Amino acid sequence: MSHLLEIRNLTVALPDDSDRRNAVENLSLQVDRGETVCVVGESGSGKSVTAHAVMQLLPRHALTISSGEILLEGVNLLELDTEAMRQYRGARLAMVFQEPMTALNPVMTVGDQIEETLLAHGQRDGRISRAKVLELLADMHLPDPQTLQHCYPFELSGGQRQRVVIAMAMIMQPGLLIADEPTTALDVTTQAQILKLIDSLKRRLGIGILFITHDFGVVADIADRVAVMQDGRVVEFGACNDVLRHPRHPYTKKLIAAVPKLSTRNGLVLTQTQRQAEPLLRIYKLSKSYKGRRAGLLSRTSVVSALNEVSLDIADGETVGLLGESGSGKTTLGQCVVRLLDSDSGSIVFAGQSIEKLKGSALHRLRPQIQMIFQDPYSSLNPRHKVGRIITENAILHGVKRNEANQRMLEVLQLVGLDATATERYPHEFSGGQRQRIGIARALVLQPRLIVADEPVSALDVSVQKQVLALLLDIRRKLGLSMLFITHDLRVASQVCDRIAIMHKGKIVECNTAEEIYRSPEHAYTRTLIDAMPGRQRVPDVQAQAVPEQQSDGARSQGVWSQTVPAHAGDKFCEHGQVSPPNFKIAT
Amino acid sequence: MKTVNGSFIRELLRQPACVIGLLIMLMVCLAAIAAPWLFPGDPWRMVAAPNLPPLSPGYIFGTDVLGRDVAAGIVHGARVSLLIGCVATLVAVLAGTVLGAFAGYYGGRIDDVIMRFTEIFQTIPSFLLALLLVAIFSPSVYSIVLAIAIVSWPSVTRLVRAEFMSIRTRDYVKAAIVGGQSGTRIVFSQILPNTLSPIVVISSLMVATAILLESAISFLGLGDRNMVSWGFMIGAGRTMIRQNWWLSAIPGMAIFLTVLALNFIGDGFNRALNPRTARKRKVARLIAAMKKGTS
Repeated sequence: MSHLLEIRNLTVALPDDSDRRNAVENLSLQVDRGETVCVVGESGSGKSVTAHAVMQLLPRHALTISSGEILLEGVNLLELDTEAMRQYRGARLAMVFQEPMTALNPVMTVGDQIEETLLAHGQRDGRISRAKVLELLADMHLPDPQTLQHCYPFELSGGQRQRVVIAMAMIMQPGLLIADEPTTALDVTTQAQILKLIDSLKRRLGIGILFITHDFGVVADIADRVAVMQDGRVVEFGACNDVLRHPRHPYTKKLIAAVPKLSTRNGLVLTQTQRQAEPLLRIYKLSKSYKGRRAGLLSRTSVVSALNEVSLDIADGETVGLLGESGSGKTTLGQCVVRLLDSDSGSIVFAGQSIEKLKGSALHRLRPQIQMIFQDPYSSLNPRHKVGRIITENAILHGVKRNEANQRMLEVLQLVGLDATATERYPHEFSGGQRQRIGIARALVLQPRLIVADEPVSALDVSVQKQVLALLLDIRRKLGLSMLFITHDLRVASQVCDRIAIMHKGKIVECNTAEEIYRSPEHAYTRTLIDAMPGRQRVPDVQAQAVPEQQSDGARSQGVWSQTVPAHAGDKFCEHGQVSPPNFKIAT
Repeated sequence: MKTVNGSFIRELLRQPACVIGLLIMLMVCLAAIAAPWLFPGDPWRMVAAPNLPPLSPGYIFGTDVLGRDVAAGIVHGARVSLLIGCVATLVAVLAGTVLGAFAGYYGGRIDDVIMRFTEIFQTIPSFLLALLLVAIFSPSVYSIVLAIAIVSWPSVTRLVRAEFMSIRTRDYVKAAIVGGQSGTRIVFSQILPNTLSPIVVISSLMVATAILLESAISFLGLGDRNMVSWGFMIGAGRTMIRQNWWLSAIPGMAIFLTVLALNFIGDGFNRALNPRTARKRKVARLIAAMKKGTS
């Protein structure tokens, strides 16, 4: 029997002046009915281009398919004319996009939007199509379809929106569903639900799914087969278990090894001795609320409480993780600590000084001691300034002599692993990982005592993420800094943090070591977070075989930290301090 | 900065309309600079028989009812038009940028005050306000420049304010605040350089509007009595339009070409400065260095 989708030797050419010739080169893969094929790779590997080529959504003139065939049920899509392709889209193959907010039309109700697809494919009877829409919304486990169909996208949550987008894709019952990073923009718990929904669609309707992702945890959760892409080529294609368990290609091995694992490092001993002393930072009953827009002249302003009496201590030299979903208030807390935002009530005591109301020159003197590392390496560096200026400017403003500032900069550059030649270049000449290093150098050059790192690795590819995390650990060890590490990823947090505080709806619900939080979560919300972690539920036996590989690789790269391994490491700890419960594979 | 400038100029020269615009403006500028040598003496002088048609020997654009050389008027008028257009724009852009920058960066009360003040000027019809101002201050080059600047700055303020509002949320601005930089420093050294492209674009278009405004003011007879300008020439020629149509048509053509050229240039700048249309710069040689640095 022929495949549902067969891509044969597909090559997509890039414009002439690009850094490589083809976005996708000689790519072949197949998707059968009732199976999920994951295409996984880092940014720029050509995985999205592949998905868009199948849908024929490539930007005209910029990207052209130079050779190859895309067969859907034996019909070559590349030979279809525009009108025939239009009839295929939506009816036989459909797509789910990454960002559910921009994938929906903001001025149309969701019911109308779903119905529009039916209309485009010739369904004229309004009653039939409405009934279908309602049935489908219920199918997507959306609450109260009768009311929901009249809602506008902004009235729905991110997860609900993505369900609507999937409903839109599924309404004509296409045989092939292409999902381009459908859960990347969502929170972990929502992601788990959407993955479950997509998986149940596959089982129930027997459709084929081409799933684009960068996350091996997601792959482990839903893939039947995996294609690993690097620089436009498929380097490895095989059954999910085989690829994850016995990766053959070095790139696949590298990617799997780079997936953050749940680990515990020492830090407990260190912090316990220091706990008796005054903590470096003490946040006590801090509250902050945002005023919403008034709906009308006479109505009251709505108030959103972002922080609700949050208390947290950070000892000298300690790294505390702040973990939570979007909207939990973790970024607000970070920005209050660095004094980008003013808190409403409560206190922040830093090194014995109350800082929540500092102003003017007192605040100016405090600034260098508390620095920040930002999430997006592309917007955190001024594109018009040279790297040298970006790094030294603040130090010079704080009275450091130019010579000494330059001296410090060279030291810091060496620490973060950049050449001294970097100082004469502009930020756009650097890659994402390098830019993040520059951002870290900018913070370090002021010789701060506390660093607030706001999702410093979540915008980076896994292999780069791993390097930056290693760098942060290295800095911490060498300089003995304290750090407030904000993240949404428990695995990442467990790698760098001594303690992890879980935030939920403006409150810290639990604060403990990574190991304790994983082993015996106290709060119900913490348990939900752990359960939702991608790559958790699957195949318990994989772990046993996957571990040695990870260990060897992990031990090499983490050799620097080996001294931080607790002496009492029991059999649940790997040599380099990773927790590896039996059912906690790859993503662990 | 060198490479950025180089690619910017190449990007400009890739657009035919922009090249045409640049050539026309080059000619207008040359004419304005060379006016005292091309047509020495006062352009108001009567030099020949009145009402000579264009292409008469010695007087390519002919003469007007008083026997004044139209070509001399056009060339000397270019000086006035360019001078007033550029100076008025400069004043308006400076004032508008500073006000817009502070309104956009600080927001809140400061923003409210500046924006309400701006709206006062925006709600008054700009041409009438300019006429009124010139009439009050008695017509001279200075009063015309001032009047045009006063009616043009609000649009700059709005543009700059919007740019600042979007850029102030970028992380590098937060980094500057956390680094202890003062508000004024952030406004002028962090944000302003990143808003220059739209400001340059709107400036080139504003020069065109200013030239049109000046012409309109002079057409109505409120221009500077001592200086010949294109608008004045159209106004003076309009009574003879059925007999000597060229007296109005030739300066009209000069205005038309100059304004068109400025618009072409503005569009060209817009396209060349817009990162989405400008071609991406290569980073390949750095990736090797990066790999060395991180491994």
